[in-house]
Amino acid sequence: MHLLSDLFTFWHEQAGKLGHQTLQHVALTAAALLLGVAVGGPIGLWLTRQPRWQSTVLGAAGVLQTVPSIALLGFLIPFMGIGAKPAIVALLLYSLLPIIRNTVAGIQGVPPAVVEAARGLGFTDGQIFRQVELPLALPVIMAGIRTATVINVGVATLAAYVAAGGLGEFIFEGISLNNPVMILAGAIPSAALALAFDAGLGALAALSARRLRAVGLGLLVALPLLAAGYWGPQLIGAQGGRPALQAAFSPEFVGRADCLPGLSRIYGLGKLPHGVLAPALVYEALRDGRVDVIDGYSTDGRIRAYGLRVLRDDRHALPPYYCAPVLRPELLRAHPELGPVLDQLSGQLSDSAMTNLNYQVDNLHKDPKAVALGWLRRRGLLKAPRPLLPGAPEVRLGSKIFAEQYILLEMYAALIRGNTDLGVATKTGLGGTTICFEALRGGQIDMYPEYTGTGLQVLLQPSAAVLDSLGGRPEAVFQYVQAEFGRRYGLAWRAPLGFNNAYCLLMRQQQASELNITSISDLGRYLRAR
Amino acid sequence: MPTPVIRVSHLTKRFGAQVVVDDLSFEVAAGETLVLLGPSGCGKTTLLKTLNRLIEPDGGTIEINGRDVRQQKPEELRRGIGYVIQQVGLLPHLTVAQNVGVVPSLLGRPQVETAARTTALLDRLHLPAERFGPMLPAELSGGQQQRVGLARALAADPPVILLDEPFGALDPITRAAVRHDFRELDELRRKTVVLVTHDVTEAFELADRIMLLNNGKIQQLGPPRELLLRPASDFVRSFFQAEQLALQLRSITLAEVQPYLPQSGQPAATADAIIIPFTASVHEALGLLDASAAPALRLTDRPQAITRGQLLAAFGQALG
Repeated sequence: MHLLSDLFTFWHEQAGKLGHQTLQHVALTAAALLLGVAVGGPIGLWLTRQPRWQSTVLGAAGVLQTVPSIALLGFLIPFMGIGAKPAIVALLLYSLLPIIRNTVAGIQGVPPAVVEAARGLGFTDGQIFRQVELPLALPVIMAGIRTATVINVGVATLAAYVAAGGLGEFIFEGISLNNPVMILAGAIPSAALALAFDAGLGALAALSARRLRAVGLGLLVALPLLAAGYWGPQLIGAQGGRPALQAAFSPEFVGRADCLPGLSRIYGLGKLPHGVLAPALVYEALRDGRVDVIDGYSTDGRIRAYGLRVLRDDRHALPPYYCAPVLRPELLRAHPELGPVLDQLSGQLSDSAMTNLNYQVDNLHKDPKAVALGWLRRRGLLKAPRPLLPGAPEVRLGSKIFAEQYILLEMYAALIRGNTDLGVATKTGLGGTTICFEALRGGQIDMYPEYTGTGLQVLLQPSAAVLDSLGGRPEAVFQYVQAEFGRRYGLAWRAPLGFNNAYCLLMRQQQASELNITSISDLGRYLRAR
Repeated sequence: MPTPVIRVSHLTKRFGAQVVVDDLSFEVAAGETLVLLGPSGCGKTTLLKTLNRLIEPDGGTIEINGRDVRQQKPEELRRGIGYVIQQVGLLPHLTVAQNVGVVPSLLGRPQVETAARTTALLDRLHLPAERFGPMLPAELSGGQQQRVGLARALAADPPVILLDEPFGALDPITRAAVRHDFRELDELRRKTVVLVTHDVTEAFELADRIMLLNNGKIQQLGPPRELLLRPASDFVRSFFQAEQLALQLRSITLAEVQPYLPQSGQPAATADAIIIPFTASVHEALGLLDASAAPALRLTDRPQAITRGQLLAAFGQALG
């Protein structure tokens, strides 16, 4: 009940955003569907006339369908950039299979006797197609379009990852902030949209095969109108001219009180228009000049690789993010020898050292394990793994899905193997903070590297008064997080590794120099001056 | 022979290496019903479909009403030729009335005229238009669907009708009923009809002439009784062997058995006898006797009564 009332409050407060996102979602789906019908329909018809191509084309469409949607989007970015274009193309590709397949099945399902009789009575090929095959195949074709629609409404949530908007914005912001209300705020309208689209198309199909024209016109009029919902507002907005600077931020950065909202308040960034983009894509978007300001992590290897500038947080608005292993205390009770081994990394990694390691993995595409072992070797910490005794207990290490975590994981694995008799299992596929944290709490993993700021903001979520009292001081934050994790969850933090992988604002080196921006204060001043 | 409506010469059709129609030449006169008969794979359906260009021949010519069919657009040719197939092939999304009116509307005839014609045809085929017209084909029985198929072929009043095993998919009782209506249809008597069947009885019942085909070649072409009584080859003879007696009963008329009837005998009491013309077949005469329970029948200009036994005896003698 609490959740429900929170949900309604959220919708009420964010009504404008909700409406806008819904409109975008509908428009993306409709545009992709229109194109899907325009492309898939003719392909399907062509296949009924050229049956020998059927298996090839349907196979190809089937393969497209099996490509994970996020991978498909990632693949399209280099060609199409970010925004609506790759999102619509991805949705289009997903809608092809059901539309083509059902068009083929529908036309081929027309009884041959009916076609033969029609031909024998003097129907031309065109008349057979329009007056016999199409009306008889229509229910099957419409079923394909409905399948494609429901798929598209679901996949369109991922559009939020490529700055195309839609209801996915709430969902991904909610996931990264561990906020179920926010997730539901996007997921429920998305599900409702799928049902509404399905019902609408169902009603259209129920007009029956006799009113082919009505069904066709219905689709051809309704879909572009719905699709226009996306570009209409953009076109009106575009009359104001291109903004001075365009920003793209990851969902977590947008949603967190101490990130964008805090920065906007402290530095006055109100005039900075921004889209929402997958964290993995913001750097490339900035490098390619599609946007001018992004959020990033101060130890990210791409800062160096892409020639980016970290804007100095001269008013200390962004929270500290010192990295330290979080683990289950039972682990140390069972294997006391593990504590000193883990502490070998304490205070050993500086910001620049970590940036460099990340650079090697992210940009030189070296194997995280090789990079990790190389660093340990240079530091004289690497020992040959001890032989594993049968039945030796296993330490399960987890990581989130980015390079820095992979590297740290490999370092810990090598240290444990070299200094103890314990086995090591690694789980690197844990999608985000919440997933890692829940896995640790639930006992599926024993340890993962976490950041003080994340533990504070995402997991503990303290009141504003507590935040103020900590004041962004690294030491105070670490002690608070350590104490609260022990008290609330029974989990322990070991000593930090030394580097601060904090949120930061990034610009292209060149543009920042031209505009004379070195700090976030400079950025605020520049925006206000426009 | 009246002017031929269909004239086929040296028609040949191959599927791959197999010759399905082998150098056929024949003519069909106006108003004639030609039945193409033969075992499966003899080429009869292929031959039929070359007439309205559903299959294009490899050689030879076909003229219909004096025009080479290849000089006309296929669809225009077909709109002038009625076409009925075994599976009927009614358009399932159109009503019965719309189905019947489909060719006239392709020809752009006025709707009022088409509607009147549709109503008349459906009524004549025992499917009152008021009730059946608005139905969908799926709501009809097989026999009813085939009647609609027949009405559809006749709707535009084409001079030529092609039928491909039109009664083949119906059960025996329905088949007999539809065939009966088919025979009784005035419309059809004036048409030039080419009908494909593998049913010998059907062929004898409907044909003016039968073309018996085997391996793409004409085995014999002539009136049914000629094929029966004067088979041109062993193939023809053996083809009719199984149903010989039934066919003979159908093809031999009372005029032919009359010489063998007893010359003297009781004059029939008019009340007891059924009067029957000379042109009736022995089969029809026997049928009437069975149906009426009358003890005897009487020929139109012959005073003596004929009993069942006398008739059968005379029939035996007539066959020699």
